[in-house]
Amino acid sequence: MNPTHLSDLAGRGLVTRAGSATAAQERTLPLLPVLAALVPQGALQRGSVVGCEGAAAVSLALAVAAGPSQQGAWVAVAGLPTLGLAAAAEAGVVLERLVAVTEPVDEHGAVRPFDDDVWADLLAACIDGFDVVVLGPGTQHVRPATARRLVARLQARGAVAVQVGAPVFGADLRFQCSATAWSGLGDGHGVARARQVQLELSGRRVPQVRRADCWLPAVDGQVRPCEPKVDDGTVLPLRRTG
Amino acid sequence: MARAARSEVPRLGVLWCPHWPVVVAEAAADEPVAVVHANRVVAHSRAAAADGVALGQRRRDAQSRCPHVRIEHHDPARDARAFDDVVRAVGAMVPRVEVTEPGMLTFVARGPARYFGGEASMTEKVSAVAADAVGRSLAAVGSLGAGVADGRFAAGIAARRSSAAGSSRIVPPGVDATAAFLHPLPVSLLTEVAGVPADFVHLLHRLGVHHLGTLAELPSTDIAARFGPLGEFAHRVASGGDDRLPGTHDPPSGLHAQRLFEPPAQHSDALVFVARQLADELVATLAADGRVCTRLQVVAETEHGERTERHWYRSSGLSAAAMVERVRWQLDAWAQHDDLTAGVALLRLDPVEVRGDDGVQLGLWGGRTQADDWAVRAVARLVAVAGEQQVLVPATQGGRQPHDTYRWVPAATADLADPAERLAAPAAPWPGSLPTPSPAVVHAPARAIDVLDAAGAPVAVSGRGAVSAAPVVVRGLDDRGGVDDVQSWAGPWPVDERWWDPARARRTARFQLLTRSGRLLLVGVERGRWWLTAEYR
Repeated sequence: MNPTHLSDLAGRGLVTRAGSATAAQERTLPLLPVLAALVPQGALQRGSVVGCEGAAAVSLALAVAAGPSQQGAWVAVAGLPTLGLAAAAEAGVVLERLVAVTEPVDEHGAVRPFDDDVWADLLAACIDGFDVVVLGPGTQHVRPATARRLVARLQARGAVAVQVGAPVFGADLRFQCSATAWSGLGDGHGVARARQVQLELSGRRVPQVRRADCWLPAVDGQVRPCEPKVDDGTVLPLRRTG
Repeated sequence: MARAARSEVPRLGVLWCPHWPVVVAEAAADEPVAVVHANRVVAHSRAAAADGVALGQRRRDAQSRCPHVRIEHHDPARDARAFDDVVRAVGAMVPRVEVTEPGMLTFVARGPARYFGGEASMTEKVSAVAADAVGRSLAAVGSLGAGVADGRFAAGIAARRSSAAGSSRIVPPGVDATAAFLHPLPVSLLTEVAGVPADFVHLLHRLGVHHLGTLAELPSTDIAARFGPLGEFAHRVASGGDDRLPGTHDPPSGLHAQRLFEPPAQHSDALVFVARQLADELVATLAADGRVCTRLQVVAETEHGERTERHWYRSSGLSAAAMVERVRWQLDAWAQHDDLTAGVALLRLDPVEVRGDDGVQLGLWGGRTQADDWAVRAVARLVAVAGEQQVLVPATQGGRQPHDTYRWVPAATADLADPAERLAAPAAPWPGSLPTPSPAVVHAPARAIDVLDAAGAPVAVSGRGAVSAAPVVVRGLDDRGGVDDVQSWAGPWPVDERWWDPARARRTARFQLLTRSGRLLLVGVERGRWWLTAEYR
């Protein structure tokens, strides 16, 4: 095998690889409508890392994972042993396609964390096998070099990582929830019904910070827009065509 | 399309080891051992079978029939590594060895039979060599079987018969001889050996067709009219005809997926990752033509010219995930046996035989999808790295507390492909459970906290649900004793669970506390102690 032949083949391999990516649609994962309205192109780019921070980070991560999950994607949750499954189901995550990896707990209830190598292996397997990987606080102790390698793998494989808390793995899209307000709770009466949050989206492909008010969770546990956009009756002007 | 040789059924030899995973688990001669995968028994020893353990049984059924059975987890990679010794030994004697699954291999019989002086002496030699290569005791499962016959189906059955009889089995060539051999055998072999769906065989039983001979005697046109291509295939196989699936042919030349590594890859992990891309590519190319690969050649080469080459066969077609699994097996075995002196420079997947895809293996409407396939394999890998107790899937439970509605169960004991049982809808509503939304974070076990009133005294709740004073401060929210002021609160919502059983009875009063920092907590008080059960995060 002479070198020109080698590079020739390698080049062809790369070309077919890019070609096999086909339609842009296949390079994205769907989102719930509320979030789709906020992000560029209305969908999650495969290979990207989504950061969820702020008071509603866990609910937000569930809402992000719910869109792909409802379309048949499998969701892995790593290092988030406290995830409330009822909330996940209400948010729209399909429990049939949910798998969690947690760190062992000793007899006193203390967590025995996985070391860096184990996390690297586990997350690599998650990235290979699942379309959405939720990275919980347990995964935040991986070394930066490991995190970089995993992100490279994520991009090559085309999965999406949803990160809860500090953006250790970097973030292509960063959701920040601020100004949270619970409604329904009084002084000794009522029950918490819904939480209003302000979502702020920033990131690499978002030139300007975008904001949206939404219920996260709403009364039924889902994410809903605060003021549903009413059709205000405006008519698009006719354009000359042809 | 069809090549000339298709008119003639190939003469094949099959070497088969019953319950190979049990052999790899190093079962003693009279030890009951069962190997389970996704909660179902996939292999068992003879001692276990004597107690009523059978293939396809649930793990707990197997354990109830045979309480002292040793349960082993199915690890196809380990089985494949162990089987590689046999493949090598046989491959040194006869050409074109292909592995159907760990424990079963097929080779072309014609040439070697001539060389070794007849099929009988060839099978004797092959099984002797294979038995040496196994290097483990086969006493727990029986003995190796070797058979020669026309076509894969008859040869596979001949090998199974030979294993039961203890001597190799040779079916004379020709359609009539094959049909005569198959005549008295049960139709269930269609599922076991030829991969025909079990439903179809059940249907045959219900129609009173219990033997392959009976099936063969029916007019083929009637079978085709009633059961379509599947029935036609079963009929042809049962009457000793060609058992290659219709539409099987050689792939268009030059169709392969390969990758050159520059610099050479040192880790099998990296290779497997690339193999996945190649497999995806290959399957997509074939699928675009409506085809699926049934026989795959995997070739890897190091910089110094060390080379591994294996044929893998699967009658239902190799999905991308199945291809990657086989690459992993092959590379693991290679790295284990040969002291490789350099990194791998080339990896190639070469489809040797393809056929028209009848779309049976991946469901389009609610069946298994490619994503399911990948996920199931990924779970097996996670379990291998993290341990059985650390990889969990949800299951319904029912209850009033947030951590009661669902619970986590180990993925290794659950059937991922069939979640209906695990996630059945709760049979009845749970009066007294809190309305939605549910808390996104559940603390199990609950964290002990202090809830104090304005005077700094613990808030108490009487047996009748009267609160001593409004909660004002909550303490102990984290390991450093985090303190927060209560802004608003609601409760108590009393729960009186299992009052009929003094040992397990619980009386809890639940509260929601919204703190000044915006955290909404679900807390409970039980026998004067406050617990943080969940948080709406």
